[in-house]
Amino acid sequence: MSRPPSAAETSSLKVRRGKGRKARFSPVDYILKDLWRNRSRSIMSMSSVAALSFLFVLFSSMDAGFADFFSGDTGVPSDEQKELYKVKGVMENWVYLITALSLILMALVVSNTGIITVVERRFELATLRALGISMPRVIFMVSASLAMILYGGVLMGTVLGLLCIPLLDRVSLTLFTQGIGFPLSFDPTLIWRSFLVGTLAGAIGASLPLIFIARSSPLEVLRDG
Amino acid sequence: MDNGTSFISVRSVVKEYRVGDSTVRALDGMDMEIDEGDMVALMGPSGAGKTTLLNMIGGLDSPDRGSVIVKGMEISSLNEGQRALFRKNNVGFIFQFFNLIPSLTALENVLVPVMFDRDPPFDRAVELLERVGLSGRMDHVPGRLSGGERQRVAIARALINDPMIVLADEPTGNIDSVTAREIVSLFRELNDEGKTMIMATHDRLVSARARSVIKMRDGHVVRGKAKSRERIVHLADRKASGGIRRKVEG
Repeated sequence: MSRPPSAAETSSLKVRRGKGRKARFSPVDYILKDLWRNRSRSIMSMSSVAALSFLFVLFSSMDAGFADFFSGDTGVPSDEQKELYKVKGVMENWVYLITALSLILMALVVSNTGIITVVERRFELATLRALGISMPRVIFMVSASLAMILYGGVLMGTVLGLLCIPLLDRVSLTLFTQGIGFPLSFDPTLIWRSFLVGTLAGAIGASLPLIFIARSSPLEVLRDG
Repeated sequence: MDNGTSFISVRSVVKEYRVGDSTVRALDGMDMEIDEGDMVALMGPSGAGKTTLLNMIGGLDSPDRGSVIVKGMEISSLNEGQRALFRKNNVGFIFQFFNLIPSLTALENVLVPVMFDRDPPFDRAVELLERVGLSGRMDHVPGRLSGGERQRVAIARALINDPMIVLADEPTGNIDSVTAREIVSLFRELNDEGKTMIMATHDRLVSARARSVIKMRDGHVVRGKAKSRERIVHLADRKASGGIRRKVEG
């Protein structure tokens, strides 16, 4: 005699099990659902990080472009070359400035997103702790959420930047020789450098919201409602 | 380490909070004993210290002076990590405002306390939701549930770890009277199965169904009364036959 289907079997989560996957609910599911719930903010933060990563990649590829352009230079430079050296010096300073700005702005984006997350979800985070989830685990969840936004943005910005280099390279090299543009060159180390800057920015930016969590008392949050 | 105390023993507990420039004494030398398997209603006006006492027993708060001992374990001496583990393994919290996670479904909300476990008890979560009458609402997010349904999800969540103590702060404070009756009946059922239930409440319906009522005022017990001692004896018999599972340490 067949038994009637239980509610579990009619649940969509149970359907996942029926398709051969083990029914589960993990912190990753929680984080993804939370990112989806706050998708406007997540997308906005990710786009900001992507834009900064894109700028970083583009300006860093100029640095590589200068190195390529002047690599064959020997002997006494002509007047025209001296002018180009001057332009190179100015542009290199811009590269450093943009790199530093990318780092600072990326850290601010992460920090801002983290603080909004922590403040908006303080009641939820306090509830998690009241239910017995330890503080390091709550910190892990918030960090993972910020890391997804950060690395998602860095990935998008880096890929976009790398795709743009070949397109811009030819035009910009011509302009550079006329003293008004800059050379671009693909450098494979740009990929890990971009992620390094992202990681550094994330570490700086996430520290404030994570300290905020560590220092907050779940009891006070729950009591104040 | 059993010190020969009651199941829950609150001894000379003092707790003060700073509110602006003044200090409020929430518990003022509180003494109380609760037996295993009891169903206690903490009654009293707002500010009597009911919620503070619940938080102390649940390891959410620690006393300024005195001690809180649960099954021989002094909760007040545990550090934050140990208290989190104690809460996870031994205590089920039911909040007045349900405190459900809005982005998660009812089923996922029930699984939240165990989501870090290697093998979360998915089937148990389903069974608990079926038991509280939400078999058709498992995939609904809290925003699509009524107040009573949300409270049922919160009850299922409190039970996911099979805790020995269930603490409820104003469990009927935000639901209609019909649902409140059903919730209280459910509490009574859980108590019959061996759970020690402690409820902070203003609701006479809750206190009427409780086995013991403790009245509090200004951080003191003003009156405590056990309604039914024979049930505790019955519970002791069940315990002797291994009918009740208990977890003291994580």
